[in-house]
Amino acid sequence: MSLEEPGLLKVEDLRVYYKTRSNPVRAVDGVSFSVKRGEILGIVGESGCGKSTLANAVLRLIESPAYINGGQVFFKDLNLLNIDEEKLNKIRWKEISLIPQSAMNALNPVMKIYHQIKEVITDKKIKFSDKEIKEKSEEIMKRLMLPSYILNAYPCQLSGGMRQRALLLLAFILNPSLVIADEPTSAVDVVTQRKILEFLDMQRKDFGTSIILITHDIAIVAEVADRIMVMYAGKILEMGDVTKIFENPLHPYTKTLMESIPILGVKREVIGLSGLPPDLRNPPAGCRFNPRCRYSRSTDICKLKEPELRYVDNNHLIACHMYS
Amino acid sequence: MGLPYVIRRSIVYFLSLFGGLLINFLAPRLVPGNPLQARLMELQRMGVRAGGQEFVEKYMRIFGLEQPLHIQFINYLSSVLQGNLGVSITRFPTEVREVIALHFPWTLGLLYFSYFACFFIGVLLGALVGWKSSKMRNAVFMLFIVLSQMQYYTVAMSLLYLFAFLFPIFPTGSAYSLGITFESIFHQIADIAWHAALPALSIILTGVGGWTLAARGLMVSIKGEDYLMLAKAKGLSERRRFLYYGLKNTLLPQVTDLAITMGFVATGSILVEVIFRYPGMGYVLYRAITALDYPLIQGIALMYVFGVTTAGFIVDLMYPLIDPRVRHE
Amino acid sequence: MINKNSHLKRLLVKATLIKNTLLVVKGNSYIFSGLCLLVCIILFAVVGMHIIPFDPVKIGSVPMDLPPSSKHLLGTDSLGRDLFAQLCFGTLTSLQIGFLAGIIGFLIALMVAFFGGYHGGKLDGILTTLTEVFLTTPTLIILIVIAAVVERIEIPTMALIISAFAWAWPAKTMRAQVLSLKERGFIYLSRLSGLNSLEIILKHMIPNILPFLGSYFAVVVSAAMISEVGLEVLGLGPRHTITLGMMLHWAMMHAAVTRNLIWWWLPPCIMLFLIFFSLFLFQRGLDVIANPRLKGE
Repeated sequence: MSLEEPGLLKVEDLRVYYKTRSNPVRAVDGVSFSVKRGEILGIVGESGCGKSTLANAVLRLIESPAYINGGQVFFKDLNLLNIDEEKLNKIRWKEISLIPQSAMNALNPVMKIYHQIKEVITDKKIKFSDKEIKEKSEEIMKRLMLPSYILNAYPCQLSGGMRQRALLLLAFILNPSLVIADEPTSAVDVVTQRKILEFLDMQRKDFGTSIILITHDIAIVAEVADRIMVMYAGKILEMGDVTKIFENPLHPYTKTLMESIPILGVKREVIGLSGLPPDLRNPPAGCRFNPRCRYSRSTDICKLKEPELRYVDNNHLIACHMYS
Repeated sequence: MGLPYVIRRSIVYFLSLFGGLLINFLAPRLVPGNPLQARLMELQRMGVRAGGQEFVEKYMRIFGLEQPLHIQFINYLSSVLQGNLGVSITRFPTEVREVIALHFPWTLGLLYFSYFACFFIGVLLGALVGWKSSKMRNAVFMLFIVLSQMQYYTVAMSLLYLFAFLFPIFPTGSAYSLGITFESIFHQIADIAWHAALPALSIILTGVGGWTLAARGLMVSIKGEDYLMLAKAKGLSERRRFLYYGLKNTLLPQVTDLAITMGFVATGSILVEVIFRYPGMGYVLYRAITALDYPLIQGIALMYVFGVTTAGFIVDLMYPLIDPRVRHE
Repeated sequence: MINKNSHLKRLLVKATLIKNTLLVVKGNSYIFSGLCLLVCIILFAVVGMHIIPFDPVKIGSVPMDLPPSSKHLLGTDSLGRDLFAQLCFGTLTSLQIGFLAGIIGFLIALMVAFFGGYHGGKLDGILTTLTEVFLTTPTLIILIVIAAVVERIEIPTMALIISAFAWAWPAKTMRAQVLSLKERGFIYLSRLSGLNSLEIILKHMIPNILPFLGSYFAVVVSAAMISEVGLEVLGLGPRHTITLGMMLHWAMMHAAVTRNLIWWWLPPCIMLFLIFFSLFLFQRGLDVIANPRLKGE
């Protein structure tokens, strides 16, 4: 897997479990991938497949009852899971920032937006004057189409869409090299969604920011991502160039995902997926997707052995016995 | 906030005051017979000099007890609004308001100092315990909970016993030492502080528990909020996260409780004053009850009602100014 | 045939309900210990009353100011009464007043909260304002004024006076509960199915917030007892019987603390503390059931 050029972020065999009274829930179970400079990686999957847990783990935000059970997260040659908290705090937000999943409550309710921006700037010991801070903020606000009065407002005065965009503003104000956006468009209307996606694309183009875009909506991945990573039940099923995978999805799960998108003008049956994701306290022995796979047969290697993530093509990885 | 809120609070405030006045007015009148006359006779039998017949007649005139009830009430209201709270029976001919003016500062000083100390110590402790628990913090937390269950009288009596009697570090009562000339104003202040120490401590030790329990609960729920998680993602130091994201959000909602609990602490302070013979309004009230000095009882009660409800009213009006969430509802 | 079946069914449901309640009580250590403590206190007082031959109320029935001995377990007070007898009798009397006031206050609060909260409109507006007024006024002060004019304070009078103010806080909190319950789906359905308000309240709303109600009741009784003791310490309690608060009053009148008569003032304080603590535990346990989130604390 390390045949790629040295990237910005390299996650190796990351495992994040949740403690329970019985077996731990294996939410992220051996995930490895990397992100290059200036690329947008889209991570897609159903609710509960581990994407958000993964996002939090990168910045070491995992708290009890979750815990990191193994793996490494390399950012520019630093292992984020090993360095001490003080060093990590210097990297947090300045090099890597996070746009959390629900914007409603992610802003401190008793601080004005402007102060929350100033706070991160001052915290990283960057000496900007108030004027400079305002200018830089307004640059980004223009791209997000946020009115200038929001700087002086409290979060409760802003609508949901505005709060989401304010979070984007916060995430990009320090011009980090990597931004992890966890469902940045789920809670907003289509128009705002468009604005946000355009903004992300612009940031990547103009500043070379790498973005990890986590979503359950593959349509937006198709819009802006360079590469796509399909997750299921804590594992990566398929990963590679976005156009290639959209045109020719190989993994049965990815195939179903693509087939579930209605296409304008084409009349066809939209097939869904029956059943539920497996209980991650006791995941099935073999392939985790097998119980819902349409190609599954009764005496299968799929039921016995877990498929490894393998190259099937340059830049195209897949974890499926049909392709090994 | 906005006008409807202010109107609501104002209505409640004025109704409270009105209610207090009404009870003050009706209470002695609902009892059959003329209580003043009866008490006066009792006191005279016990040999207490209380002014005799002229006093009762003056009162009959002031209250106009021959007139219909609502006229009497209007007279009562107008005299109260003019600041006339009547004349004390036991300290005749001193007017009630003079007695109150003499002792009110002591209560004010003791009560307000202790009350705000309770609030800040309690909320800070609760926030700290809720943020990160440790054996030490939990132990202190439990200690204050237990103390608060012991109520004011137990704590006051125990402190009096331990530190004024067994180990006479503090005086057993009063607000200042009598008959001593002080070298300077500082010595005088120190003497007052020394006398106020145990009463204040009684109120504080008992009162912290309630605040600390609520604050801890609030902090624990805040810890699970998204904005705290994001604060960590921003790489902010723990101190900053605790103060600006945790404590600030814990402190603000509890300010409204200040108004509600003031009543409890006020009544607790009465007991503390009584136990330490601290010459505030509470102690005078106690003495007035024993002597059945009705005008004084009612005058002091009215002062307490007025003080507590007004302070609460001010807090209610000020709160939207400090909490942005309420302001922009 | 059908009637018999439904009758049996109802019995079964009731039995399961009781069994479940017992399980909950057993499983929740706070509730259990709170109740146990309270029961122990009551038992102690009752047993004590029967063992000790002295009269707790009659002045001069025994020599004054005796220290604890095998004859007088807690000694005697300055009025010539046995202190241990006072403690036991006083505990029971105090509990009587407290619970009586608590029950009356709680019932008033229930009615205010449910009729106001459920029907809404003008009635609700008036009741809420009334509740707020009673909540903001310092109750003990008013109680003092009232109690001072009452000639002879006895147990029922005291309970009534106290309950007149104890209802405000639970009324406010219960009303908030009612308002949120009203929005719930199953209440909406019962309204649609034509049940009248009283039935909905009794059969559907109340059973669903029983843990909350239990918690509030404990708080009301606590508050009532605080008011009770407050009044009594100032001398405004029943004078022809003995309560824990009155014990403290007499102790203070005779400067028991500074005369080193620790056996006079300390036991009632401890007993009161135990009562409040048991109510606190009980209420805390119910809070945890009502709000499972609190379990982590």
